Amino acid sequence: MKSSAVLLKGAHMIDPGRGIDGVQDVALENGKIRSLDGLPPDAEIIDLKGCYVTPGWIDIHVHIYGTLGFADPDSIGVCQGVTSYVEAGGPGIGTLDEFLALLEGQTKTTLYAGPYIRPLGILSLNFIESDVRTLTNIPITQWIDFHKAHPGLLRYVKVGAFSGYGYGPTKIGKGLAEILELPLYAHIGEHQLQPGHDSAYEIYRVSEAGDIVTHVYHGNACGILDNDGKVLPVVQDAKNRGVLFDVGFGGYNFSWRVAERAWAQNFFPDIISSDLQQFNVAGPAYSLANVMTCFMKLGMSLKDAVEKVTSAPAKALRMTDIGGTLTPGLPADITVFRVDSGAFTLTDTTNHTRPYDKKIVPVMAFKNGERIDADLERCQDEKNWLIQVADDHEPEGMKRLTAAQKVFLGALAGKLAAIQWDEFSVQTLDYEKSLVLQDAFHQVQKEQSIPLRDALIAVFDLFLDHRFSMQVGLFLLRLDRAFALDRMRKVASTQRMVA
Amino acid sequence: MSGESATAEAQPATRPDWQVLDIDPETAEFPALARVGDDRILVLRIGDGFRGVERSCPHQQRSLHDAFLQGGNTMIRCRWHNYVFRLSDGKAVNCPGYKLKVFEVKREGTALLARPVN
Repeated sequence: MKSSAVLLKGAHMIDPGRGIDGVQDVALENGKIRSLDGLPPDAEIIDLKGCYVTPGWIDIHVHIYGTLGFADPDSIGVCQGVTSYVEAGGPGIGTLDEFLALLEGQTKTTLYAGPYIRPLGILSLNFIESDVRTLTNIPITQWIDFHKAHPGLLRYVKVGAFSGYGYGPTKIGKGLAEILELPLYAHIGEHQLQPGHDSAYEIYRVSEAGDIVTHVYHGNACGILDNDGKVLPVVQDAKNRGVLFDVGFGGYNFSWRVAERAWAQNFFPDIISSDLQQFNVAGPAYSLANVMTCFMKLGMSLKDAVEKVTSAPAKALRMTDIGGTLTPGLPADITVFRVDSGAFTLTDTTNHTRPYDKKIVPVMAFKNGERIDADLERCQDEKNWLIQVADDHEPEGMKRLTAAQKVFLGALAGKLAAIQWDEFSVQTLDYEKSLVLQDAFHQVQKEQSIPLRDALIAVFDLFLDHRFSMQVGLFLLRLDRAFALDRMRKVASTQRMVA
Repeated sequence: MSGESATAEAQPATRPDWQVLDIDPETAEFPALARVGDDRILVLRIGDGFRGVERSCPHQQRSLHDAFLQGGNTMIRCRWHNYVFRLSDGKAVNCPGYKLKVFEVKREGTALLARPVN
C-alpha cells in the first residue's frame, strides 16, 4: 500500500519559531509534519523550487460570521494560504450557539472565536459599538460554562475601546478576560464615529502583557500618535510592558501616514492580521498576503512578515502546541507562496496609495495534510461578500427547504406577527427589538423541535440568494416586516397544501 | 464606468418633470457632474444609456466619481467602504437604512434630461 507521505522539496523555508530561513525540505504524513528521516521511498514529491514554505498562516482577526461575514468562509482562509483564523467579535455569549450551529465543522480552515463582550456580538451596520446599554447583562457563569464546554474554541475576549459611559465597559471586558484566562483583544479604531471620547487610552492602561490591541495604525481620532506624530507615552508604556499590537487592517483602520510615522520611531506590530470582511475584501485589504506585503513596503523583512502570521500569533493565542511552526508531530498546516516582482499599488483605508515592486502570492496550503491550491479570486466573487435580500424574487434556497423547515417558518410567522418592528434606520438601532426577535426565533425553534442549524438555514435560505451566517435577531430586524411575514406564510402554505 | 445592461425603472405614482442637464453628451466625460434643480448629481454612462446618482455616498459623503458598478451594472459600489446601492431605486443592498438618490436620465437630440426616481 502506498504511503501517504509527501515531501515538499526545494522551497525556501521560513520557520521563524525554529529560527529557520533557508532552503530546506519538509515532509508530512497522516496529517502531521514528520521528520525527513526514514521517509518512505514512495513518498509523493512536490517540487516547490522558487517558492517559500512556511507554517500555516494564522489570521487572528477576520469576520466570517455576523453582519460583516462571508458566504464562503474558506475563500479568505485556506484558499489564500490562511490555515487558521479567529472570528473577531462576530458572536457574543448570546449568539455563540448560532455561530457554532452554522459554522462548526463547515470550514476547512480551522475556525476559532474571539467573542465580543456584548451578548449579541458586533453590530456593525455603521452603528457605534459603544452604547453601554447594549452590553445588557454580562452572564459570567454562562461564559465560564461555555468556555469549559468548548475547550480551545475561544482565543480572546474582544471589546470596543470606546464608550459614552467612561471607562467602565473597557474594564468590564478586562475583568471577563481575566476570569476566562484569555487575552483581552481591544479594538481602538473608528473613533471618528464618536468624537470627543478618549476611552481608547484606557485600554493601554488596563492591558497587561499578552493582551492585544488591534487597529494599531488607524488614522482616526484617538490614535497612537500625538498631534506632532510622536508615539504617545501611554502607548509606548503599554508596549514596553508586553502588550501586543496587532494590525487589523480593516475597512477604516490602516493609514499609511500613521504606519510610516510609527515605523520611523521603531514602533512595529507584533502580529499582522487582515480584519477581512464584506466591506474590504474587494479592496483595499484583499487578503492577508496583501496586508503582509504592505508591511514589506514599510521596511519589514519577509522573515519578520512571516513571523507575524505564524509563530507570533500562535504564541499570543497560546496555541504553539498545535501550530505556528513546522515542528515534526504538529498538524501539517503549511503555506506555500511566491514573491512576485512587478509594479504594484498598495492602498490604505483612506484611499492613499504606495507603489511597490513586490507582492506575496499564495500558491497552496496544506491543512492537516490536505493540499488546497490557492484561489485568490474566489473571495472576490460578489456572491461571497454582497449580502442581498431577494425581495423581488424567490431565492434558489427556498427550493431546498424541507417540510420541517416550512412548518417552522409558518410557526415563526405566527410568533412574529405579534411583534412590531419599524423600517431599518441608520440613526438608531432598535437593539432591544433585535433581542425580542432573536428570543421569538429560539422559542419557536424549541417548540418545533427543529435543530438550530436547520431553523437558522431556513430563515437565511428564505430571504437570501447566497447564505450568510449572522445573528438571526439582527437579520430579521433588517427585513421589511410585511415582506418577511408574507414570504414565511407563503412558503408555509405550500407545505400545508402538500400535507 | 461602462457596461452593457440597463437598469430597471422604479415607477412612482407621480413623476417629476424632466429637466435639461447642463452637460453635452457628445463632449462630456462620464461619469459627469451635472445639476438637476438644486440637486448636484453624477451622470453615469451605462451601456447605451445613462443614469444619475447623487454625487456622494450617503454613508460618509465620499465622492462617488470613482465608484464601481456591480451586479451587471444594476448597482453602484462606493470604493471607500464598499457600500452598495441599487441603481433602480437607490435602495441600500448591504448597508440597510441608507438610501441613495437616483435619477432617470435620457437623451433627446443633443440634450440630456433627468428627473429624480426616489
